[in-house]
Amino acid sequence: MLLRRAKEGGWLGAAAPAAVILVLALLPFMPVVGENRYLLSLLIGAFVFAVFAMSFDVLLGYTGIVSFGHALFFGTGTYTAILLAKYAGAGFWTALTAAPLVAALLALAVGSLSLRVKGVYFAMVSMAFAEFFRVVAEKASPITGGSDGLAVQVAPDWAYGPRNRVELYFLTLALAVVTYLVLRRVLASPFGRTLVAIRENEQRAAAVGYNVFAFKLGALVLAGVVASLAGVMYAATENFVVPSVLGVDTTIQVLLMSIIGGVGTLGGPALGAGIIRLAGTLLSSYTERWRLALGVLYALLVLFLPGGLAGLARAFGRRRAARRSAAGEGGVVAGGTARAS
Amino acid sequence: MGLITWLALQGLTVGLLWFLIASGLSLIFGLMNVLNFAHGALYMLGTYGALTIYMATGNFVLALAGGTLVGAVLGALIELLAIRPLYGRQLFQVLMTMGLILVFDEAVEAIWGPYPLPFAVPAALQGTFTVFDRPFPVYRLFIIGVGLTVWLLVHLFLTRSRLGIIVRAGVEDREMVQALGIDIRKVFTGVFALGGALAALGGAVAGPFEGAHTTLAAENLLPAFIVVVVGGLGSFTGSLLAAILVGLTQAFVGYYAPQFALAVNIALMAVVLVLRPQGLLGRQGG
Repeated sequence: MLLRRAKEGGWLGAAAPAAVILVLALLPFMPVVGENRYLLSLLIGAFVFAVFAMSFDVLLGYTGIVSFGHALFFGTGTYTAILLAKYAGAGFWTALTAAPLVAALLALAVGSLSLRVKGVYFAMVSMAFAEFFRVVAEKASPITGGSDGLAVQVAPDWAYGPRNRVELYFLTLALAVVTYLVLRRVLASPFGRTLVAIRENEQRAAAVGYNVFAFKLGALVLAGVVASLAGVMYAATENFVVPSVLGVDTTIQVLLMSIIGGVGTLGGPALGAGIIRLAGTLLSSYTERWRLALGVLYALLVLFLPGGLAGLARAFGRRRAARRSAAGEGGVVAGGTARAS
Repeated sequence: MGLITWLALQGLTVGLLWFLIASGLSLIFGLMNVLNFAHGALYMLGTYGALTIYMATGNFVLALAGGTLVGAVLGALIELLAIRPLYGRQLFQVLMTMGLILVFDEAVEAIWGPYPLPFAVPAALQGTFTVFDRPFPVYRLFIIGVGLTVWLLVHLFLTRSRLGIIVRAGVEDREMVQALGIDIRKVFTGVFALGGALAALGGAVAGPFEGAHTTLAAENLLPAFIVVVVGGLGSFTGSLLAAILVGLTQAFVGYYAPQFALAVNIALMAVVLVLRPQGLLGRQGG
C-alpha cells in the first residue's frame, strides 16, 4: 500500500500517509506520557468530530449527496443519550445501542421524503428538516430544557469525574479507528462501489439497473447511524446538550472539516476534523474572531484547492510522477472530489 | 369574519416579508442554478444597514434605501468574487455560499456586537387602527404595502423591460440567450444584485418589526427555503403565491393551535414535495 503510493505519488504521497500512521501509532501513548487534561479534551473532541466527518463523507464524498442537514443525526445521537440518561436512567452503553436505531429510523423517514429531490434541492430540504428538529428541541423545553440545554451524566462512571479523561480518550480513539476501518470496508464493497457509480453518473447507474433511490437511502441510513454514534460520544464527553447541536452551525463545522481535509477520501475529513478542532482552540486564544478567519480560509480552499489537503498531496504526487515519466501514463485520476448532479 | 380578516392581514405581513427574501433566492437559482445559502445573511445585513443609517440620519426612507443598497452591492460582490470563479462547478458554488454564512455572521457580530439592538418604528408609521374591533398596527400595513409594490415593480420589470425579458429568457434557456450575443455574465451579476437588494429590503422593512439581532440570518433562511420549495424554484410569482400561502397558514395555525405553528410549514413543504416535487409553479423536478 505504502509502496504503491510511493511509486505513484513521489515523496509526499508516501510521507503523508506514513506521517498519519506514525501519529496514530503514537496517539495511544499520549495520555501515558503526559496526562494533560486540556490536551486530552482537545483530542477527544477531534476524535468525535472525525467520526462525524467520516459519516458526512459517505454522503458528500462517496455518494455525491449534498446534505446540509447532517447535524440532525449527530444531534439525534446526543439527544438520545441525554434524554435516556435523564428520564430512563440509562447509561452510556444503552445509548450507544439505542441511538443508531433511532437514527436509522429517522434517516429512513426523512430520506424517503427528501431523497425524492436531488442536488441543491436536497441540500435545501435536508437543512429544513434539521432546522425543524432544532426548533422542536428548543420549543419542547419542559422535556429538553429548551435553549438552556440539559445537563446529565452520560459517560460511564469509570470515565467520568474530576480526574483525568484517559478512559474517554481511549474510548473515542477506538470509535474513530473502528469507524474508519468499517467504513473503508463498506465503501470498498459492491454497495460502496455502487454509491460511487451513482456519484459519477446517476442516470447511467439507473440505466444499468440499480435502484438508485434505495442505494441513496442506504447511504443516508449508514451516514446517519455513524453520525449518531459520534453524537453519543459527544454527549458522553460534554454531559450536556443544547439545541444548536442540531443546527446549521454544526453542519457548517463538519463541512469545513471535510473540505479542508478533502472529500471522498475518508481519511481526509477525519484529518480535517483534527485540524479544525486544534486550530480553532489555538486561534481562539489569539483572537475572538477566529471563526471569521476560518470562514475566509474555507472560502479560499473552495476556490483554489477543492480537493483539500488530500487533494494537495495527490496533486504533488501527480506532478512528480509526470516529471519522472516523460511518457506520462498519468496513472492517478483527477482529485477525489464530489460532483454536482 | 372579523377574526378571519385580522388573521389574514397578520399572515399577509409575514408572507410578504418572506416573499421579499424568497423571490431573490428563487430568481438567482432559476437563472444561474446557484443556491445562495448566504441569502439570509443579506436579509440580516439589510436590517443592520438600515438601522445604522436610521440612527445616523433619522430618515427612515433613507434607511430603507441604504439598507437595500447594502444588499445589492454585497450581492454583486458575492457573484463577482465567490461565484464566478467557480462557474460550471455548481456544488462548489453551493459549498462556497455555505461558508459565506460563517464569514457574514462573524462580521456582523464583530461590527455590531452580539446583543440585539432596538429598531424604533418611525413616528409616521406608529399607532394602530381597528379591523372589526381588533387593533392592527399601521406598520404591518406598511409592510404589506411595500411587499405588494415590490412584487408589482419587479413583475413589470421582468415582463415589460428588455433587460427583464433577457433575465426570463436566461431562466428558460441560458445557452440560447448567450448565443444571441448577450453577455450573460453581466446579467448574472445584475440578478445577484437584484436578489441581494430584495433580501436586504425585506430585512430593512422588517427591522422595526423584529429588531436587529445576530440570529436573523439563520431564522429567515429556513422560511425562505420553504417558500422557494413550495413555490417552485425560479418562479417569481410562484414565490409570491407560496409566501402568502405559508404566511396565512402560519397565522391561522399559530392562532388556533400555536404548538403546531412550526410543524405545519414543514408539513406543507413535505406534502408539496410528495405531490409536486417541482413546486406549485416550478417547471421541472429537481
